[in-house]
Amino acid sequence: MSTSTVELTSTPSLPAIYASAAKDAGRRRFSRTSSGVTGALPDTRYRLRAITASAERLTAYQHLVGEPAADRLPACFVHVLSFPVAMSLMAASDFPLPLMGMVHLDNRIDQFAPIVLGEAIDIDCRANHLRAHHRGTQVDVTATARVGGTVRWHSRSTYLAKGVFLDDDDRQTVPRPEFEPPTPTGLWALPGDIGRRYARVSGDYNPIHLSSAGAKLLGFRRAIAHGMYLAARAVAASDVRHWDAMTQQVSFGSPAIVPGRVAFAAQPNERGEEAGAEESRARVDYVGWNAKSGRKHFSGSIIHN
Amino acid sequence: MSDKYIDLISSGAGKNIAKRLGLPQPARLRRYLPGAPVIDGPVLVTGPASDAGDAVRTTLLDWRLDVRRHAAPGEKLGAIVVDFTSVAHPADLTETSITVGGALRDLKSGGRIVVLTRPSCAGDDAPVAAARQGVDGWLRSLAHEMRGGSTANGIAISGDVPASAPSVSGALRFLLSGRSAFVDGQFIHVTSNAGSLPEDWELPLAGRVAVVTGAARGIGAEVARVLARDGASLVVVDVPAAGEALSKVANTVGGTALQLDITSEDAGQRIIDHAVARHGGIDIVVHNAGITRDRLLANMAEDRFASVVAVNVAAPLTINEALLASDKFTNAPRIVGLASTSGIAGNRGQTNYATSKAGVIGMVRATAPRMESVGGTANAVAPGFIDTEMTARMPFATREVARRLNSLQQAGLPVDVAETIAFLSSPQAGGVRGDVIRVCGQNLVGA
Repeated sequence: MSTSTVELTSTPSLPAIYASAAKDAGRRRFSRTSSGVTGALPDTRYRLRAITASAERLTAYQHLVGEPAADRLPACFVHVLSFPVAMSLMAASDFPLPLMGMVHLDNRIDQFAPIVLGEAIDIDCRANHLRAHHRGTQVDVTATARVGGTVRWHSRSTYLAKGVFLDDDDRQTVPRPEFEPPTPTGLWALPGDIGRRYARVSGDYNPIHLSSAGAKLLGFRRAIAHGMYLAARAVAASDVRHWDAMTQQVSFGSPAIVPGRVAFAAQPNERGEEAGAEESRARVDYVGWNAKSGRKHFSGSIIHN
Repeated sequence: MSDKYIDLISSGAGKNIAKRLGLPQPARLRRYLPGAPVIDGPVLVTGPASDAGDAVRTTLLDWRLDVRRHAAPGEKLGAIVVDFTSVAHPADLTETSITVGGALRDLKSGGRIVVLTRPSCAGDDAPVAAARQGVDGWLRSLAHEMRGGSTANGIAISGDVPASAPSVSGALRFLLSGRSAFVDGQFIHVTSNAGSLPEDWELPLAGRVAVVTGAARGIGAEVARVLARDGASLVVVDVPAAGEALSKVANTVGGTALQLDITSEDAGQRIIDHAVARHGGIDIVVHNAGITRDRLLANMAEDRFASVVAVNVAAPLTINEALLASDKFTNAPRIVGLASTSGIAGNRGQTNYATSKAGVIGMVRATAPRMESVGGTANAVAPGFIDTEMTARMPFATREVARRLNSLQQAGLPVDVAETIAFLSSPQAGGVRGDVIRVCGQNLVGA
């Protein structure tokens, strides 16, 4: 099968995508659950060329997630820039899973070299690896950022469509692993409007983050914090902004309700000696959990390459 | 750039040859490393009894240093602090001088002598003024005698300023540490009790927003790096032609780049606007950008003189006016100008450069009082011979001679200038106002 390419000519409007997806949600969800989905993903690449971020938007983002102002784009900010392209792909009629209510399970970003404010970025997005999950179906959406033809950054997001099962699915329940909260190194107060503030700088107006009403429509009790907002804050708190090349990985557990408090712990590790001088790399592992109940919201690592 | 001569004479045959021929034997200087102790080894505090001596002992003990009142024979010392604040007659200097002289051979390499004194002024009784001025000659001569990369410097504490003032502690720590590696034979003048001690001595500039002009390369790039290391958020400024190098520096220090010709009329406002929009404020401005157009005055064209004055001192003057008029530059702000030993001692073929650099000294002296009401300061740093791309272009022989013409017998590094600028930018330097600190290894002439 040959890959086709959809060239986007301008950054897609996320609110418009959400609005149309919401309209379709009931029908699509129903048809998919009743009939199941086939294992096929469209082999289509979505591409948007020459994206540039404005200094205002970058600064607002940096301040919101706790980064000092810098011309270097935080790796999670590049994800924000690529997100409308990924959304266009997932909202397309040939995409087999319903966009609304999809859950972000896991994200991995490889930054090979930093991207600096003012550089024109070309984004490519693809979907692959549609597979079963004990609560539905998951898929990987990858994004690649190039500057002047060179890959600087790559991201893989794993999403879960809950309650949507593949035809040949053999469901299994997986027990939730025990979690022992470590000694916190930080306590984040997430205000009730944090989802709306993150939407303003990220452009991601997903209703589940904006208000309780929006969240209830999609099956959540109250508004939940955006995963990539939590990840960006975790990266900022890990103080790795001088690392040129790194791999950031984050897994999302139970959603963090807003307003609320997230306990956070980062554990930096110097791995110089055991890995040998050639391989000397540093690494930070972090975890965030509900300060009251002790339930884990997310955990991740940042590895200096 | 590495100093090949130091590499050569630091070991083996080279060392022996240099010794036999009586060639200069410069030492590797002890430079600051975050996390390292302020100074390695006990600190002898000596001098006629005074409140200042007691205050300094308390300060040193707070820093967990090993403080001695008397030198134990044969015990290696990290530093000697000499308290001359209470001297009332030149004869009061003798006993302590002999004590210090006796302890000198026990001073470790990279050691420090720091003298506390009160500057003489016209209102003093004549014997008091003579004693205080005597300390000046005492220190400057002793600095010439130091060996093994050790230095001698002083803190001149004005009038009623107590020795417990934040800037006395700040200057003391700066002079004891490796940050002052290339500062020698100098006095830092503490003229007020203003300033505050940092919460964390490793990150004294945490939460501060600093602007460095001419930051694309050389000393400016190093200043940006050191200010960032000390915790500041950085705006690096340079001309659009240096944009790519500037962007690299911004990237390295995790700051933002501003391409700007500082001689443009609205440069000050554009700096303020950028710093406020991106970093939420502006606290420190380092006027580092500078040019040279050397020529004997007899051969000097008008534009060569005018352009050096325009970039080196007229532009900082205009930018300062914008800063002083801004309500954003009011939180204990700091201005640091780059002067030069050429501006102090003069240098053949540099009338334009020396004029502009002496002008910077006048500029900070007149600007500092205007910043006092908001806890601000303006000061200057006067580098001597520093190894940079600029001095690398000098003819080999001239450069080699210029390098050795100071008490430390070597060129300074950009980081030495940057460390002094970082000190003057810090909260603990709030009581140092309108001063000039030479970073020249006690250069014999202007360079």
